Amino acid sequence: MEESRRLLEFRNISKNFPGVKAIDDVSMSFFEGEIVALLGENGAGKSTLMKILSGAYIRDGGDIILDEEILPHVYSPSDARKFGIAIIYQELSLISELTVMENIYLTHEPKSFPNVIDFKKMNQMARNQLDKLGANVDPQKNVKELPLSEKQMVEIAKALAVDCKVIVMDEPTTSLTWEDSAKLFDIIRKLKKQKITVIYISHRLDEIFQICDRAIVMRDGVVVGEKRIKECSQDEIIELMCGKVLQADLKPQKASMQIVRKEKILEAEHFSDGKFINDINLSIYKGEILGIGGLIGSKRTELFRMICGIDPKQQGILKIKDRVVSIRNAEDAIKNGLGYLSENRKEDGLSLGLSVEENIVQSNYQPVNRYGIVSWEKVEKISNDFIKTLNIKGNSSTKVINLSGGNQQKVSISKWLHAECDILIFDEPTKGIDVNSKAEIHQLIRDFVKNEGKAAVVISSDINELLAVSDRLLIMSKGKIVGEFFDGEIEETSVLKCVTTKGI
Amino acid sequence: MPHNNKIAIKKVLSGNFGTVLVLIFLMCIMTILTPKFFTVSNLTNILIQSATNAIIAVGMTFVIVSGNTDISVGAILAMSSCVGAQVMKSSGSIPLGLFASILAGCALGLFNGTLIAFLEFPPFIVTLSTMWLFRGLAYLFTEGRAIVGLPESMMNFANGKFVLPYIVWVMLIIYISCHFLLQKTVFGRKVVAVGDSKESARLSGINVKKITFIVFVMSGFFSAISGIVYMSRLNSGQPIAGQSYEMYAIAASVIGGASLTKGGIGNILGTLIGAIFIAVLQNGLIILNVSTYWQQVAMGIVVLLAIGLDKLRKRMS
Repeated sequence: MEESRRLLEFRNISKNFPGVKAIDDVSMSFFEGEIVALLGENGAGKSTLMKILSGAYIRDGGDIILDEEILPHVYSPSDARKFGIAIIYQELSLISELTVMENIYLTHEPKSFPNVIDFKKMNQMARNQLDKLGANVDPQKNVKELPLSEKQMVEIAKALAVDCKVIVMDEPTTSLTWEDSAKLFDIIRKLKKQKITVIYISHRLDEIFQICDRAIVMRDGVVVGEKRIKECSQDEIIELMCGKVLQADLKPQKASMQIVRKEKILEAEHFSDGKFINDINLSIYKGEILGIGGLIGSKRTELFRMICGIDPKQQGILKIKDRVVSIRNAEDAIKNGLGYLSENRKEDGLSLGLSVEENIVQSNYQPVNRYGIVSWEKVEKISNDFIKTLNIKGNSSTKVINLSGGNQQKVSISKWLHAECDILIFDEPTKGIDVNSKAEIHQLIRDFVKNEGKAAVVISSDINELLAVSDRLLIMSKGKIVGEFFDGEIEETSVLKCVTTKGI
Repeated sequence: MPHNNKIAIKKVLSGNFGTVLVLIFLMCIMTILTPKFFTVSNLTNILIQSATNAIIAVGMTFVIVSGNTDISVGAILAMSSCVGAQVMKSSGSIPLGLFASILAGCALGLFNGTLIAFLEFPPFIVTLSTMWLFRGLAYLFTEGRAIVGLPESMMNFANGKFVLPYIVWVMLIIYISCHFLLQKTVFGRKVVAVGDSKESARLSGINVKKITFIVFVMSGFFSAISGIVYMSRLNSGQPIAGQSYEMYAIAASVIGGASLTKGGIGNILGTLIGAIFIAVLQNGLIILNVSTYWQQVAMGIVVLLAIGLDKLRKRMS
């Protein structure tokens, strides 16, 4: 890319938060039509830097130069859009009650008469824009009716609707299926051809090696390295990210012994929700990690939310340790030793406005409850123990909203370990989390089932994760179980084949 | 533990620092403007005047912290105090009257709570409707007239004092115990958890419906207590009592740091400061002989200023 024009430059950017140097004198450049991966562990400063670029944060010092012009010190996100900077966050920012085309042209709608929106023209323009991306989305549909992958395409179309020079994508594939990810990559390649610079943030290295030209690695608020993707290996990048030689435990690790499956800890019989899930039977054995795979829409999450009593079921009998139990809500589930760790830590997994310690004890007040009064001493002790063993960066009174994604997830896991359940269901336990924390979390799940009489379920869209942690793997599709793999049989090609062929 | 307590106290103090500052500022202005303001008798008066609102605002704070609103509190106050007054009058027994009053308040709160927690009706609409409903019932029950002729000891209670007036003691005891209830008990922490994120609380095994139900019953309970204070001060049961008290209670909670748009925030001591703040303002304006029209204007402006200053302070830190 050396021959092409330098489009965007950060010059000596710094940003402090109370007690933290989030960005420390960072400089980097991006060229026209280049796809650059911005890498780093959670808390490395990538998101902060991108929020500075988008105008959401005001930088303490340094310059941003876009197209040979220095951007003003303070500007708003809507100014950033006008400069040609678009950011696509993990949590998409579309308005779900409006149609696709209305979202794409929000605030700059085509108008006919003085101030009347020309919907006909808008429809046509939206159609063109989406066609350019090869996205087959009806512009007149309400956004809330679209699957996540299509929403993302709308978001990209929206970015392109104004004259856009730089698109930042923050973890765009975390909620996408493998197929949809591939479609997204095609779109990114198209953007490149249109000379748009893409800054791509992801924790999935295989993706970065598929589409990126260059990788910039950050750690603790500074740039620690820059590599041309063609000239380096994945291990080199991981080393840069963690600042140490890759340990063996970061790579997929199998249980050393085969699990002896003799005692069932949970049996679900004839589970149906009356809509998508029809007559599902499954068992979980003591000591195993059961992986659940499948495409989006396979109703994996729905099945387990129903088993845990969070969402209503139409029918289904649940046996825990050979005893039929009636579970109507999460409270009943926890009483019966069944815990569900939500896939959306921001929506229903955590109380973001509350402290780490309050979140941890939320699942189980028993140990800290003295005749109705909370023993804060104990709360603090319990949470400090978790902070230490799970290596959470923060202290017990830190508000969860101020933690990075990986640390939030660890708080969520602490909460469920504190619940003292026998069976824990981890729904997307490492969504949006860096390699190092990912390995730590996998180890935590392993350690959990090592205890006498425990079992875990891991629901994941990340095939590598399922391959790494599962002792047994179930593949779901459209509310049914379509495949089962035991210990030795779990390997990538056959699993992928099952998912992609039986899936649709 | 002492260390921990210190942190907790510090947290509450720093959280309310801005409001206290504005309150002191307001009191300074009043003192400069009129010599009649900063006297023992007037300050005691302010505390008595703040009591009815302050006591309702306790229940309101629990409701707001849990992520809900209750605008029927003024009507509950009227209805429960009329019931209490009637029972007191016809039986001649004060305890029986007080009991009836509290029972009525809790029952009305229970009605709100059932609709909101178990039938999942939106809290604003439910309490808007019951505000009219309860108020109308209070008028029907009394045929629109005040219930007079209560036992004399009611009046004695309102005027009696032990260092501080009894009414102020009642208020302080409620505040101290409710501060403890919200900050230190499992129930209180569950209220905060429900307010911060209903779904997260539900998935963590907290019985969200039960908590929501209880805070509305509490709101009814404190409205009734406030009604008793009101009844003792006027020595009668008034169906027009507590008109627009819901707004003062909400203002007290919000000045004290609670947020109407986001649950999980707010603390009881802040609400006390808020209630006193409102009473100081009303009292000062009356002493200054400001017309009632201007009083309302001033009220609106000062509440906006108080909240604006607090926002500014939070943004600066």
